[in-house]
Amino acid sequence: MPGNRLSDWLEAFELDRARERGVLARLLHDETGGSLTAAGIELTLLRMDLPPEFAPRLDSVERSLESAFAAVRSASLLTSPDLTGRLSLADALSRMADLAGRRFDGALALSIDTEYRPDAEMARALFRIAESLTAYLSVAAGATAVELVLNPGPMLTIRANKHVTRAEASKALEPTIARYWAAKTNLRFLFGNPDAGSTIFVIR
Amino acid sequence: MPSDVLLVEDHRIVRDGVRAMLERAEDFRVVGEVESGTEAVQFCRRSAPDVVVMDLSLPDLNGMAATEEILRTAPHTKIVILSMHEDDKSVIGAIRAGARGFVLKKASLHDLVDALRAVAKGGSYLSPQVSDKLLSRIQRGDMETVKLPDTLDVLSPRELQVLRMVAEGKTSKDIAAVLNLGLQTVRSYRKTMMKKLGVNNVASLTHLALAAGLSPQTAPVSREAATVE
Repeated sequence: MPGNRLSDWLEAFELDRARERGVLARLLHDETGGSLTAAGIELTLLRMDLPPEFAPRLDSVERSLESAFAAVRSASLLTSPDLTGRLSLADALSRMADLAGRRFDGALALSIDTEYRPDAEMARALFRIAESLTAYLSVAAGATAVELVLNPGPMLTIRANKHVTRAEASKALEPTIARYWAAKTNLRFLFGNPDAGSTIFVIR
Repeated sequence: MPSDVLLVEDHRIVRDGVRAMLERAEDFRVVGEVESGTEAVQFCRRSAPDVVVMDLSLPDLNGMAATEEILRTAPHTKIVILSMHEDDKSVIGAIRAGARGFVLKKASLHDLVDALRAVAKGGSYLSPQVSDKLLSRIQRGDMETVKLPDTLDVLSPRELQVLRMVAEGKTSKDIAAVLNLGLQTVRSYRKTMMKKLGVNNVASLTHLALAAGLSPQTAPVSREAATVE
């Protein structure tokens, strides 16, 4: 890292971010999830009380409620600061890519070796690096195609069809966060421009 | 004769609903309702109900830790988890803690009564979404990812239970009260764990627990903290 002060600041930033996400996950789970569960129980009781001709309408309410459940469940899980502790790294990256893909007009490809199972600390670092760089390339840098590859060899490779210079990348927050996590776990953080129209990050 | 059921859920509206459902099923009788894991442990020490319906996310002692503790003192009590989440850590952790059933909170909860009937008869029950997910993971040979890290292999189940609570920020006094242990016994556990794990203070112990994935993710943030943040 360029200096201890930046490293300290990033550590405080990441801790604060994790805490805020934890609060959000908890609010989603407790407040929204609790209310939805109560509504689901009420619907189950209504189904017991109402005659069978109401079944199609109750089915329709149940489908809407289930969609809301799925959305809250997913958002609560994705905001959990311990996502890679609750899911395998492969599952966590898939969910992250799904969410990132919804905010990205371009193509986001994910290739994961599910046999690769790093320990908890490494999984957390790789996830955060992948999340930061994917967000940077797909949103801030303006790429229209991003590919993320995870395997035991070079570990993590992220390519994008957009030329970003080293100077540009070093000024942005997300690559700085990625470099912080790489340094924290003794990973090498490599940056390159294979040709005039692309950028690659390799973490190994 | 109906089975005695304890409801452990911090949302009153959910408890009321589950109670209303069980009142319609003649084979169950709700004998208690509590809002926290600690209260559940204390209730089971006193009354050992046949079945406990347990939320995972509870104030002060989460559902997994409460399940382990209840089964230490009331081994014949059957525990059914009622959870919002179906992630690996929740499902496999609950089963490893000794739960006999896992029901997902969803738009229709008709399977909760089926689950209670199954476990009351000595069987087990998983919601279809949960069992499908577990099956596919077993088929992929992908079960090892939730295995405890090797660093914690040296700890006994009781030490792991204490370590989880340390990671949740509980004091020795809190842990002693929840686990019904003497204060000195808890302090001895902490000392033994530090020795086994090669650390020399509680902060390092907590850091190690968090790094190993023993995070307090199921421990709720207080409402005050939530509004202050």
